[in-house]
Amino acid sequence: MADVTSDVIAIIANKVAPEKRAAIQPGDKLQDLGIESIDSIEMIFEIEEKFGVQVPYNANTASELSTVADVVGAVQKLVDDKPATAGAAE
Amino acid sequence: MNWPHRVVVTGAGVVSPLATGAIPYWDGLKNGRSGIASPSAALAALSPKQPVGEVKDFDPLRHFGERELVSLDRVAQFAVVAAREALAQSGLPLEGSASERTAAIIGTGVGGAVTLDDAYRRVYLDKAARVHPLTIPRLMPNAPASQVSMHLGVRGPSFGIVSACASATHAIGLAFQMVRAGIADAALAGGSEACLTFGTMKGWEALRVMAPDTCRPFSRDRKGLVIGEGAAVVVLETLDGARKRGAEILAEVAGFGMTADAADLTNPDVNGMTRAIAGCLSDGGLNADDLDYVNAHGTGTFANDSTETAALKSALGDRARTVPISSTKSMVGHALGAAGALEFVATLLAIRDRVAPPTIGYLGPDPACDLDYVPNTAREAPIDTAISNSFAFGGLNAVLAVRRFA
Repeated sequence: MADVTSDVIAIIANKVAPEKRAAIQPGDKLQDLGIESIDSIEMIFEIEEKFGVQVPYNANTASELSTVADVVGAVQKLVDDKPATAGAAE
Repeated sequence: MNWPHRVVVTGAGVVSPLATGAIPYWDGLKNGRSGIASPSAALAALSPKQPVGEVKDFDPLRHFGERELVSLDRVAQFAVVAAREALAQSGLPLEGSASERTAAIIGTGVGGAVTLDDAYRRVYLDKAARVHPLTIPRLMPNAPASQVSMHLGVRGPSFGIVSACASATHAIGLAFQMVRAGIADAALAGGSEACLTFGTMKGWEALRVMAPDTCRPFSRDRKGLVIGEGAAVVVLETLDGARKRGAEILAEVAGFGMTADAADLTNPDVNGMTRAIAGCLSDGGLNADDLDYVNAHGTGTFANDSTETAALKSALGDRARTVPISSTKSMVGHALGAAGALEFVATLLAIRDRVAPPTIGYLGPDPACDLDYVPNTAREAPIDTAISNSFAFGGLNAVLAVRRFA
């Protein structure tokens, strides 16, 4: 399976102030990067579009996605678990 | 009635097919320039034969950051840009508690039409699984008011007003009433519209009211309206407040009248229009003979222009036959929920310069429209007091009176 890390980080970087983009590390907390609720839902939207997956995310419940690495891991799992035919219509 | 405050205008901002900026917009109107043309490449989905009043010189990135634009439909962009200009001109302070005593009331006819159209295209045509996550907050009709409040830091009463083609006049009228009554010390008020989308234009086509050539209000051989877009916002404040801080006063809001026809959904009603005009004059303690200029609703449709003519005769009596009347929609098209504010600004500046802007595209008199419509060329006139008419689908009428501050 393809490694999603660089693509996910690129999506996250797009929500971050330009001067911070190049320095994003897996351990960075999304909150510390200045990613707010609206940025999060946009990030999820772009991840779903990019990888043809459904991210089980609801803004009303506490998110387990705290760091950049959390997001990368979650997306990697969704992509790895995706049936081979799913997402063909995306 | 004795109100606590007189209300003055201290700032105006415009985004229009003629120009972005109140003064260049007014220069265009005074010179009888037309902002009506075929759709540009940006509106390739529209019929190339359908003339529109399109805002062509508007680069969102000149006004907003890339991240900011994610949450801003074109209709909210226009509103914020017009509001910033109005605020800058007025110099109104919005620090601390002043912001809590300031209102932001912005009308729109349709709301975030570009966002709605894009979302529908994605799901219906492209069969996309999802739409952009900010689709709802971008398209909501209160977004222009909310974005003006957020971008400028206005923390008092703020809401959108929806009354189709009268939205902006209702917005300015409500703001006037609130400041006059002491509910707010100041207000940013106006309207915004940006609905030149494939879906919206299909709806207008289906109503069979659109002109194939151009908008020729009150003229013989007029063929209907031309849909436009844009925004205008004004700063209203108490006379005392404006004086205290030495602000330049552009004009005084003299009165406001509003009525409903309770009759037909789309046909105008002479009685409803007449009562709105008369109600506005009465509210301002004005007589028909006080009026020096009328900025008409003048859409260019057969029904509006003849009915508005009859209403002006009914409300103004003999004065209707001599007062200069013009429709600036002939130059910018009908910007629906922004129209009343664009026309209010034209009326302010007509008073400032003592110039009645023209009704362009005028081919000659129609027997049902036999008043002085300032055909084709602007005219110098001793304008101290004027009204601006807005009459909406759904039978909702609103009229504002403005006078030179002295």
